[in-house]
Amino acid sequence: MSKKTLTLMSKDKQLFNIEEHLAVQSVTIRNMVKEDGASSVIPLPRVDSETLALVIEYLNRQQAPEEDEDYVKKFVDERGEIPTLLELAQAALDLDIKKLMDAACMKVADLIKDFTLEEVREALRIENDRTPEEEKAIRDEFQWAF
Amino acid sequence: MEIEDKPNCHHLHHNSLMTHDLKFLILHSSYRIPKYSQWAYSLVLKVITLAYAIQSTQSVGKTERPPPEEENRCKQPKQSISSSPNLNQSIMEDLPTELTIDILSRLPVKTIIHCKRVCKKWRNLVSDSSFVNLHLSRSPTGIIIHHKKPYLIRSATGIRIIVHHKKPRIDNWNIHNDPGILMWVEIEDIVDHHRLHYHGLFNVDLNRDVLAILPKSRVVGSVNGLICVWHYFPLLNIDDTYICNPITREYVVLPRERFLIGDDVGVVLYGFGVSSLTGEYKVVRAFQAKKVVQNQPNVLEAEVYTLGTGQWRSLGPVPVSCRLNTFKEFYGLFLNNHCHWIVSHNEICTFDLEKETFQLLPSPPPPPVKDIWSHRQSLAILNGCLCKLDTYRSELKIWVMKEYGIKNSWHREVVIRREICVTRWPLYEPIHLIAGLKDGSLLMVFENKLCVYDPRSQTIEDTKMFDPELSGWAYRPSFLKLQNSESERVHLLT
Repeated sequence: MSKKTLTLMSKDKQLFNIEEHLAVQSVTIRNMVKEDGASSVIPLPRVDSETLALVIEYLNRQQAPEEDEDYVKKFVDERGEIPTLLELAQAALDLDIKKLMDAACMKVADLIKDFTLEEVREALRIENDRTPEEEKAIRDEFQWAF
Repeated sequence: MEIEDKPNCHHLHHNSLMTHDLKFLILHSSYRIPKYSQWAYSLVLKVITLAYAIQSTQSVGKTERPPPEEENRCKQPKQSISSSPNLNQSIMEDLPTELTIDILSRLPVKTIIHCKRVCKKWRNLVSDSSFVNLHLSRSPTGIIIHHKKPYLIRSATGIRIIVHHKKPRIDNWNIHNDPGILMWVEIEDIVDHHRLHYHGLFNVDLNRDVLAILPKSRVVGSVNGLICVWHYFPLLNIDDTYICNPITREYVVLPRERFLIGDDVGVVLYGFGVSSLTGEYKVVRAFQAKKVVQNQPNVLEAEVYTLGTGQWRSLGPVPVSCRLNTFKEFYGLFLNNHCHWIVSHNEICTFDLEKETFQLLPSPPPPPVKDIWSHRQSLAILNGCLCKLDTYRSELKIWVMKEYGIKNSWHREVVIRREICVTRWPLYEPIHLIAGLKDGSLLMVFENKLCVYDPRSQTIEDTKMFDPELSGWAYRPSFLKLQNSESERVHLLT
């Protein structure tokens, strides 16, 4: 069987080619291929080109199975910036690449676990909408943790 | 400390999260093998950091500069946030709930609680069942310790869990014999080493009455972060079962059982588990008449309670022979939809939570005749398999049932000779296994101590985390919510 190539299109309309047998590590793509052969371009409206390039790099990895876990860990470690990791996690979620999503989320959790609340809000772009009453309620509920 | 919102001062709050841990680490609560020197070094660093933090806390000043280590530590992640070139605001704003839940579920329990304060959405997510279930599936095994001689906390109503920031000491318990306190030991379990800490010390006071004589309490089950506590004192007609989540501090008191323990009836088996098919949590217990009526077998009778139903149901006689008062351990080990106990001689009795039937499970080979007199037994879980510990005068044998229910799959996994044990070898009680760690160590409780067996160095050492007089069980913390029902009101520990 000859190696078939698929084309993925990012949000900003850039095209990426990838061999089908590698692309189907993504369950989303696998299902699309199963359904209609996916001969045309596969659009990924929520993934930008930078992130898609990373995903393609990940899918193209050539690791022996026993080294794969270390590789995935190193892969996300090298992209240790939270916004990049979140984009990556989001893309992995959309494409249903469990291993990549797990690794990216794990890395984000590792990074934010020592953050202050304010840093967490800043890192994940969250607005502080809590009231003093709610704050007190949480403290009362979980006294032992404070 | 309400300071994390002030500019330039967030490092103080950060430290306040760790203060208790550090105190414990410094004083007594940490135990780690083998990279001792590295650990000591990082400890020294932390002590310095802590000292700085305390100093700056005392002289609270909004513009005070953080100490050098602090500054570096805070700066590093900040850089990574702000200097990113490909920051895409629109995606960040609607970070899918699924991702948020996934990330949150990977954080340590205490951090998750603090994260509830980040925003309303997060606060609600932590109570959401999809978060609770995902977190539970990732929650690592820790230990729940029941310390039997803590100092007394008076309470007129219900169970109380109180945080204690100091080590309980026997000489602090000043008044009564008491029901004990519960503590959670977190295990930092990494491939080549482990570390134990009890950072969040629970004090469970089970006294329901302020009486001169206080009831006894026992942990009789632990599953999915819920623990089942039995609280009894026959003389005063006290016989209550609690289900409690020590993390969320919720608890329910089950309605009274049909048979109360007393002069004529004693409890022999107690179990708590969850049916994987229906998701129902059930408590089971078996009784036996204390007086043997002539010419009649001393029948064991059981009843079961499904959480939320409000009543105990009789299961009738149990077709297993079991002698009352033979065992001090009521605790039903939960695994694979079954509760497990050791009954009679070298037999394992199981209760199927779905079929609600009792059965005997094949046991490993019986001890040699010459060792029967010194044979003490207990059950545990090792690498997901049921295992049986046979404690003898001269050694401990750990049998593992590789394939559940298959007699031939019993395999003698570990033999530990008494000689390697520097603390006292148990002669009257069995050794209890709590957990097998990734570095191969086994955490065990015996002689009222929490000990670690290291197969590489062939040593057993007392962790010396607590004063003696304790029992311990595997426990996986969770945020599982107890449900209100007509007969079970969910209370919050105060």
